[in-house]
Amino acid sequence: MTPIERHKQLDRIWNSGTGFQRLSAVNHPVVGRRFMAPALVFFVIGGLLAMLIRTQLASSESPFMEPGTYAQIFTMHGSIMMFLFAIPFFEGLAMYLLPKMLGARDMAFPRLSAYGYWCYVMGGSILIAALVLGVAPDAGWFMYTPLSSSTYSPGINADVWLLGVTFVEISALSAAVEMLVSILLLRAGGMSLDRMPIFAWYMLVVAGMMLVGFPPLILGSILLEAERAFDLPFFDPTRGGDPLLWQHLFWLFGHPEVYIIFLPAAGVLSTLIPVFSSTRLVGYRAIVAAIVAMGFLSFGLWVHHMFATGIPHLSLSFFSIASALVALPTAIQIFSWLATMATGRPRFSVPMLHVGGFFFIFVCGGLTGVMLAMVPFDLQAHDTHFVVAHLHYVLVGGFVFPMTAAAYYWLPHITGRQPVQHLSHAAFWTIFVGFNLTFLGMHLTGLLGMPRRSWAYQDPMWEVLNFVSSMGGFVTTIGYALLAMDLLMLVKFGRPFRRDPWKSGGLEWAMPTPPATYAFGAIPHLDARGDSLSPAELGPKLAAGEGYLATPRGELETLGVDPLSGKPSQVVILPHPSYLPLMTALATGGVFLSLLFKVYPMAIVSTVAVVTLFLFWTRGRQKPQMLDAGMGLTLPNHRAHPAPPSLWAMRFVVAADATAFASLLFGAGFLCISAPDWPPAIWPGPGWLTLLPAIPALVVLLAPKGIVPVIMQTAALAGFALVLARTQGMTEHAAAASLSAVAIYGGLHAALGILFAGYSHWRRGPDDVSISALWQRYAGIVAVTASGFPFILRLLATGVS
Amino acid sequence: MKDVTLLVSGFVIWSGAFLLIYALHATGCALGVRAEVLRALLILAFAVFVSAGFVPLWLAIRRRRGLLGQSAVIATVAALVATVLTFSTVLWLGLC
Repeated sequence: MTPIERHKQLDRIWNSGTGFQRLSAVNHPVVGRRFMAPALVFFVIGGLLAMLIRTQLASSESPFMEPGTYAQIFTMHGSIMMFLFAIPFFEGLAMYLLPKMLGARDMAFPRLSAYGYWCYVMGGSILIAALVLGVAPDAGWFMYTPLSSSTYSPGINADVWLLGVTFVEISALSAAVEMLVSILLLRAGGMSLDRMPIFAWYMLVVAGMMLVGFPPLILGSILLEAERAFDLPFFDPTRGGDPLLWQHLFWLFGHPEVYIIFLPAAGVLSTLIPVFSSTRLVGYRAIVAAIVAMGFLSFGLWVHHMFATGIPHLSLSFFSIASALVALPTAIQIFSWLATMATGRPRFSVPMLHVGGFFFIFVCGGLTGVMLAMVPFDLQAHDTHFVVAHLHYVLVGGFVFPMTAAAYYWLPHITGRQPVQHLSHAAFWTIFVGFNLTFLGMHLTGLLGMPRRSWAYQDPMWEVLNFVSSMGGFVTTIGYALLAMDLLMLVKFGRPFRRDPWKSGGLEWAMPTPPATYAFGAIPHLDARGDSLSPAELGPKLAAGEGYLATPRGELETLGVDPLSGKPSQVVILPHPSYLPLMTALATGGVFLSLLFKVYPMAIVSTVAVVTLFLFWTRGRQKPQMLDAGMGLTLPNHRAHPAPPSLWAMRFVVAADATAFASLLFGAGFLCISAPDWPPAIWPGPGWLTLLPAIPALVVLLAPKGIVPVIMQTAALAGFALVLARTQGMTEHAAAASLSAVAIYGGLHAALGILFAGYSHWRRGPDDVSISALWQRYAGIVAVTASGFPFILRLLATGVS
Repeated sequence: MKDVTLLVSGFVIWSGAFLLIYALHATGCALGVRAEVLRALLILAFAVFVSAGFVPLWLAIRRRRGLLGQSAVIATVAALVATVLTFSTVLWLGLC
């Protein structure tokens, strides 16, 4: 078969179609690009809101905006930049790049990517529509209670945030599972973990962080929405709740979030700097250790946003020291990048200009971060413009500058055109000068005492500094307009090139650009690290079919490998284009909109529609069989393999779910020992009846397969329903609300257990059975814990009183 | 898989120490546990986790081969140092 014939056959199999068929596209280049495009639109919207903020603050007592509008503007600016721009942008970049860097033809669950994309766009649209209609969230991007509780935010503004952001977060969690499974299982033959390109290491750690970072916020959003909608007093101190619980749950997500945003950008830097220094990355081993360290340490910092809340000094010291310690792995990376440049011959082309911008700005932001990690200093600067300046130095320096470098570096891959660089330098210097003009003086504004989120002020010194910041803001905007024009010119008038324009060693350049829908004509077998290859030589060989799965069979095939050694182990067959992700996202949108407008029967109908549509996803699967994988190998398809991608995905889903459950138990325990008025006058709950669901759950733990779990999970569900019915006073005290939430959590898991067990009993595929069994065991543990927890809580409450 | 396990195990121990020592401190203060008893419990937990941190370090040094093995040594040393630094304040700082 000639390369042209192979291309035609593979393209026929992998192509998503034209016209309305584009809505059914699930292929990673399409979905990856789709994630990035609206992210940039949201970036523009967020930037325009920043201009409105700077206009308001340019002079004291400005009549430009009234305070309510100003509150909506700064809330939406932060929310858009964090939830609708930064995270989705790097998710899109990762989806576009990872398969190509790892030697796969697609991500592990293309329909899940597409579903996540639609959820993101719809959730983001809800937030923007609210902004246009004047009912946007207005309690700050971190939505602190009690300001965001129904007493002080009575409209739907806060509901829009809680439901819209949670809708968007579906895409983040689905992307986390998608990336973890894809990086671990879908790689080129021979690409062991230690041969992965460094970007994949970063994304592996980031995906793991997202998996355990997002559930606390999702849980917190559900609890706050339950308080607003059903008057369950989790955060109301007059009824046994505590506003600080929200801060804990929010920052359990919120601080790792900063590193979730920074690490992909650091992955970009670790990829670009060696290429532009014409050498290998110095300290690969230390960098791998550093990103693992950052992944863990970043979860031990959340209370440094709460230093002023009255937590005992000893506890504060743990968070203060951890906050300072996290600078060390960051420094290791920065010194590795400097050493890479020092040992190579750096070319200061446009991407490297933005890398230089990163170094200056991010290091400044990191140093002020260490200052804020010290409790005495933080108490002085807390909630002032110093913090605003710090976070912009970190986030713009640590994300926007590297991602701009990434845009210049990989846009040629997407478009097949190289930069023409008419405006590149002017754009960079305008942004760099404008940014520092905006935020450098803002440190001083903060140290002089100007609180953040204030819409007006009187001090004449503050006015001078704010005026300079506002001018800087407009200069920055002009810079970004120049950058947008430069990138548009690249897309429109850039110079075409053959292959690998930057002389990189990455596998993603071993293909024609723009890339074909299937990425690789044949899956390579590697005996070197994935970022030290010779794409110019390797590309034609792969196009000629020298590799795995070079003979098209009519299915979308890619190679599955052993996670550690990279030894080929299965042929993963991926789904064809489908409208199901769009339809399922529309139904999911129905759930969120019904909750937003409080049409609860419609929410139930939409939920049933979502579950039904997800069941349709399982139609048309391959039968378990052995397949010729090429290069003399015969491999099982994924359905015949004992550890298919779907089983790995369920393991990660369980990990994310367990984090949410642990957060719920932590929340109840926190209220018990910290909130006022505990224990309630009459302890809620049905006493020993609470243990009822534990009995069938224990049976499920012993027999998680066959028809037994269907019966036992039904019994557990009935048990939780009985417990819930007998728990009195849910709206009167947080103790009853918390115990009800735990019972609902257990019941929901039992219900899903019935669904999975029934499905696996019906289909009886080996993968169906193992996936269901994993869930049954987990749901069993949840049920046993949920049954015993009320006794532990009561013991704790009695002890505290 | 041992290399990957060793790569993360030092910081898993650090995370466990963080959760347990923070929870122990908060609960102890809320329950009104006597200061000397609470400090003894915190120091005991601190000692247990520091000792536990030596186990993956010892295993990583023994297995030290390949890129992942070397990264695992660096990560376990870093985790042990982080454990000592983060929680050493239980020895001297005021409790509640």
